[in-house]
Amino acid sequence: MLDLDETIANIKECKFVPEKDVEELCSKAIEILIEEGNIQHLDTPITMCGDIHGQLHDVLTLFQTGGQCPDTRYLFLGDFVDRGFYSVETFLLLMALKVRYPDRIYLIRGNHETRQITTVYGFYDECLRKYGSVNVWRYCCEVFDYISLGAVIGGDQGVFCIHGGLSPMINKIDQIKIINRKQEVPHEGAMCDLLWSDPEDVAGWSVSPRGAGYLFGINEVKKFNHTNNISLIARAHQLVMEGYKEMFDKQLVTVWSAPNYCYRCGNIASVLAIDDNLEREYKVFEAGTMDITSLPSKKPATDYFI
Amino acid sequence: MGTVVVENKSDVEDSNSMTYNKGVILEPNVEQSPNKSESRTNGSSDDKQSSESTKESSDELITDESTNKDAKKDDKRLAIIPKVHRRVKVYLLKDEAWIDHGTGFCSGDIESDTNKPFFVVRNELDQEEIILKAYLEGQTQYQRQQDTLIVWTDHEGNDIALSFQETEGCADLCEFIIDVQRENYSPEISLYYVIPNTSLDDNGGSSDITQLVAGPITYPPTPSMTNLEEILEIINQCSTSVYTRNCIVNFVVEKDYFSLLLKIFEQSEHDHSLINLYTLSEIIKNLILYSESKIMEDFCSNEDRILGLISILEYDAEFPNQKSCHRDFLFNKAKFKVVISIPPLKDSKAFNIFKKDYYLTFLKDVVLARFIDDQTFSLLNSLIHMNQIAIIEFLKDSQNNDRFLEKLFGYYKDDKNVELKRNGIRLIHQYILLTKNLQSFQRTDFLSLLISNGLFDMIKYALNDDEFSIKILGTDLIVSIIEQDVSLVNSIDGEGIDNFEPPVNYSDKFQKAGDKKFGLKLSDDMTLITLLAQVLLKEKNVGLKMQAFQALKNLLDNNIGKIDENGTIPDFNATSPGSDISTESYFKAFYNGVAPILYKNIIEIANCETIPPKLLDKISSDELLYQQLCELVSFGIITHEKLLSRPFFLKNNIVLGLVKLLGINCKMTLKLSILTCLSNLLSVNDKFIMRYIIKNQVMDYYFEFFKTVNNANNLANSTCLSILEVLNDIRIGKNKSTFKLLIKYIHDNYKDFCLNEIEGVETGKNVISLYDQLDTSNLKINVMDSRDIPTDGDIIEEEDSDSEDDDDDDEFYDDYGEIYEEEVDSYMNEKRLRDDDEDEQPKKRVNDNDI
Repeated sequence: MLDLDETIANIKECKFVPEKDVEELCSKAIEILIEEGNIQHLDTPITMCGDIHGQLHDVLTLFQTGGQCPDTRYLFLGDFVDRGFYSVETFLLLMALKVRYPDRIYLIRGNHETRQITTVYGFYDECLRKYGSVNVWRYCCEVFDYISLGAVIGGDQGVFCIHGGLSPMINKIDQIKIINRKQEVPHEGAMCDLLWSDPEDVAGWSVSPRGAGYLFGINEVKKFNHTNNISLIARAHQLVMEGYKEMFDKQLVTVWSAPNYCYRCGNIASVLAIDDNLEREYKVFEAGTMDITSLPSKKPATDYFI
Repeated sequence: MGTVVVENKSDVEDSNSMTYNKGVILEPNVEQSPNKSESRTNGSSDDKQSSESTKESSDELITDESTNKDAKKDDKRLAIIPKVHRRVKVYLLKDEAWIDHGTGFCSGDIESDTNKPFFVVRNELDQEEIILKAYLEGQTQYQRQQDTLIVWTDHEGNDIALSFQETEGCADLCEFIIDVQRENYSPEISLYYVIPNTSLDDNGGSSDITQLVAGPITYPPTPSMTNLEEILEIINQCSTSVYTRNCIVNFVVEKDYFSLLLKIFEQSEHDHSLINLYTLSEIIKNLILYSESKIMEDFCSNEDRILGLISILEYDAEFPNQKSCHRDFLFNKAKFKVVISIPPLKDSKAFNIFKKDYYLTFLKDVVLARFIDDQTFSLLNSLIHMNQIAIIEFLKDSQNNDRFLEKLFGYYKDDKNVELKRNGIRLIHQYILLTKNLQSFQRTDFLSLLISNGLFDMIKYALNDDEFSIKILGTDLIVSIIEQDVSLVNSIDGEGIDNFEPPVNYSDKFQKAGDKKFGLKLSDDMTLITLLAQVLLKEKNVGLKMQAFQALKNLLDNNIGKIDENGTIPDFNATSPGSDISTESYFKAFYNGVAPILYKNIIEIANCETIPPKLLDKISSDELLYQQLCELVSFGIITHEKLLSRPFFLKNNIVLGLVKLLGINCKMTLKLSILTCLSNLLSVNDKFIMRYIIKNQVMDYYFEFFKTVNNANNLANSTCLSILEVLNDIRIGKNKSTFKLLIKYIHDNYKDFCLNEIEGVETGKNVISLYDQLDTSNLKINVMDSRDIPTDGDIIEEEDSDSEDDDDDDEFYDDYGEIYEEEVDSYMNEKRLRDDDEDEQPKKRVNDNDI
């Protein structure tokens, strides 16, 4: 049996987690995630985090900034993997915390939590490198399919949380309920839009340069918030140099939690704490300096056959 | 070297930098003036008084008749001297302003008696008048600016500028400067290029880049225990320009400088001189970061050197309290396991290519991983790549490798040595992984060679081995082959495609395949598929099962017969010009021979009243298998020829068997897989499947389950809702009667549930309202029809009665695509229902005005 506390401690030290432990962790995570709705209804207070992209050491700084889990309740807005050097450890840490404290940490799916994207942007290669096979990648991708799509915090006049943004096919939040989310993120349709769209100063819906999802403007946001009786859309998905950026009369915010994104963007990161009165507090943090144990290196196989 | 700031103090009114460059080229009269460099740092003269310089410069313009017309000129000199005289304007700096001293033709020359090189400019109107003669001497620094300017300060402090009409002219004379420096006529002069930097720096300004192109080089001294700092300094400084880097690279390689450094390293380690060790490590790092293949090849040219390199890099000044243990790892942990002894290399000094592969990879992934940049990384990669090609070539070359492959695969025919066999599998796996970096045709080439030598014997052994890791490798090998070229699989047991021998040269084979008269067909040999099915059924390891399932799906890809030019299967539905191989007997063999084994338990469940506990145990002990079987139903129904897949899944009651599992105590993941399968079956909107679902009351199992999760906020509820949503999305037009029948069934049995119990969303109400919107007057006849489900008829009969549907079905995917291409807005609109006649072609529905 898996000792979760020990596993969590190990991952935080960036120690290797055996493949069979990953498998067990994944199957336990699925059992929990399967019971969550496409849109979860969560209470305050809660702290929201944007993209973290495999920057394990910055995630540890994040927990120092926002408070340790389980003392602080967390909602991660997706994009846990790819680009950073520690996607495996980062995702395992979040999963381990989820399994250990199911109602103290919540995850929603980002556009990187798919088979297709992870084969291109690093997670697949990282698994292959660290484990010698892609089984760990396969296990994790199974989990991705079960991760819920969004959350509503605080009920009336609360906060709608999603990775990307709005979809022209979704007027009411309840409509998201009828999606069978257990699938690879499709190339179009409501589920795709929710994970891919971006807010922009545009009138109406317009084509997204990303090739998936839409750009949506202030009117769409105000209409959506009014229809669904919410005061704020909190999303991630776009790098903001200051760590967070409020738009559209403060009715939408982008939260970004990967400081010095890709180890070179030089940006600040933040988390957004929502208190019981739905007041927002942004807590910013910067990238920590790496010590030698955190430097990227790959151990090769010991045996070479001739 | 400082940067040149453009300050247009010229005598021409309109001369911003844009028109400047153009003007020089376009205008017949050279009208532009060079710009005084405000912050030019110059070794020989800084901050000269400009008045002074002008005065002196007039002295410089001596009319010198001494153009050499001596007959004797040595070849080297001749080669250096420019052949063409270039049109140029001469400027001298006076009072911070460039004064025009006339236009003429410029050339470079070398005095044959003194060997002194000089520039000479002759008046364009009068060949005899020499405007400028300037010796290239001392430590003069020349700057090339803006493509057409050469600017320098001579040893007397005069600032001189040559403004060329053409870029080529300027380049020509720069070449002359470089040559005289290099050929030791004036070894101390230097030439810099000033490159405008368009990108903004941190302060928002742009700064030009100055690059040394020619000039005297300080080479590092012979390393000793006391001068390493100095060496580091020189290596460091020389990294700034291509020219100096090249000089150092040639020096290091020619003088075998690395050996000298290695000697000092040994001594430093012996003396525990940490400072030296850190400095040596820095020197090596700096040299590696030159990103020059010559250096890298030099350092890695034999085993001793690469080990020396790795040893030096164990020390790192950034982490003074720690030392890596690369040597310990390489000597004590890493093991070279020789499975088959290879003949000794002819050249005993040459680096063993296998060891080289390992060491280079180790260097890249471990030793250097931390600090190399992209450029050095790809340099190292290409070095590794070249060596890997050599390895593959060696393995293929049976004459020189003492029948390596033949011997290796021979073990799997009779040899009893288990460890040897296992290592052989590890070996082949290792090299197949390695071929992933090769080009596709090289890979196919190698794989087919392995297959013809008996790779499948090895795979069969691997899949039946007790050792789990060996099974994984076996499956991995299959996947590798399939991914590369499915047609390779069919050469199993020597039974190649249409009895071709395993293709040795793929492109040849493809050409033949394109020729229809060969009538290629996939063999109905199910050996490999059966092996994979056994892995699915017996294996408990999740990863292996998932891998085997993926491999199975690849082999069962409907487009397996349509292999494109690269030997890969085109995407589903793609219209590929690839060869079309008949797949009928292949898929028939699967549905007749393998599928019944896979679905044995499900078939049994379908046909019994209550599920016996023994079967329940089997299911709950291997839920993943049944999830995969659900996926395989969807996969088969959606992608395979329906006359093959549909009878199998329906006649054997597999669909019924699966939905029965919704009521048992098993993991939710399995139940969701079953629901997703049902959802897929409905979305195909196939007459026979719908009738089957109605007749066997499949929807009852679904609603039974739905009620247990209704209004819960979880995935199960969403999945149930999404199935009703599928019905809402089906566009009537084909298969109208059976669809109506299904809706009527739901209406008659679950109206209350749908209308009153499903909360929060309109899905339930919408499905019921479908019933009201459909014309139900002729349903009685259809009910009769529904009893006449052709599950017992044979395929031919079914085909006859189904011909109308066939047309529809063939176009199903086009139609599906069409839905998605339509505007999203309209997608959200009220569900469209159409009352088109059954036989209307779905494609005509583009005329949607009447909806």
